[in-house]
Amino acid sequence: MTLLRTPKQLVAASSRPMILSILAGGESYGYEILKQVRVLSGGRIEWSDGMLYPVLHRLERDGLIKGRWALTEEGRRRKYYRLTKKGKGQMARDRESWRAVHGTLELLWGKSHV
Amino acid sequence: MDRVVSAWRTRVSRTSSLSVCELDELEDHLRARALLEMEFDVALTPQRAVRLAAEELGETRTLAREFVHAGRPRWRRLIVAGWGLWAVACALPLSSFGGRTVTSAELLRADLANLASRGSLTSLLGLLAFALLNVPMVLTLCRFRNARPRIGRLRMATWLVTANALGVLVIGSGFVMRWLSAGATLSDVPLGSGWWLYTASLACVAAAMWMRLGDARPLGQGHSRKQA
Repeated sequence: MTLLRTPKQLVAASSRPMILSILAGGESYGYEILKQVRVLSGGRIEWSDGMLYPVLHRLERDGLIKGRWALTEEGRRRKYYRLTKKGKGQMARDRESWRAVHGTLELLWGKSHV
Repeated sequence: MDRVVSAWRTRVSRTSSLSVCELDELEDHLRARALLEMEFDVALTPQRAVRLAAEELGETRTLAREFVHAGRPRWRRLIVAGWGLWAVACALPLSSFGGRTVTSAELLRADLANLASRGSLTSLLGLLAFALLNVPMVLTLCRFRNARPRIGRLRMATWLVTANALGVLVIGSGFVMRWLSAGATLSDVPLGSGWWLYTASLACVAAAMWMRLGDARPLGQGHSRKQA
């Protein structure tokens, strides 16, 4: 079965709300975030591994998320990210925008099917 | 697995400008990804799994560039402000003797003209002093343009500009103390606003360089990497 992959531009545009929303559920790290996106989207949203880290750093620079280093059980360093207060506000605004887009498209598609 | 990842890390750190922290983060990812590949295909060797995971990560040099774009550090603005102050300081009176003021730009022009026409030793010394007082600033500019300088060079430029700032501050304070102890008032001190602004610009750049050094220095330096 071939999956219909989401176009690159849409993936890029949705990366911020996606990451912020994942982190709203609790602290997480790069690989775990990627895995979650893959699972939740049923493989339809495929982020390239390398793309995620610059995005995370940009969000951290903008104060939307905050990173901290911790040691894993194996004694290796891992960077965990959590949502900041500013990030929560941004997530709420993003949610509004995406809902507006989604709602409008749903209405249009609903009409065209009638 | 540890050996293969360590080899990947050595290769990447040689060929890209990724910082220790960035490499730590990518290494953590690489390990997780390689383990997943090995779970999917039990026949996969660690070498092959790490190679596949590295391919997924993409070209590390591109990644390094992305990281540079992703971080617009605070020190950048401070260093630009410092240079701005320095430029303004050049146009303001550096010293004022008996009501006559002279800017560093005028002083430099006069020294150059004297050296060219008469080969004046005093002018040569003046120019050398000017160069000495500004070389650390120029060095910070080189480091500024270099997106990822070597930490040793960055540290050297930081110390030089700090010493420069402190030196200029000590000279300025020395003047003030000497004049005040001789019974003169603060307005009699023969140093103009240009001098103080120049001191401030150096302090600004020095602070920016320390911030930058802090950013470039890997977090948790005491941590020792576990190797199998």
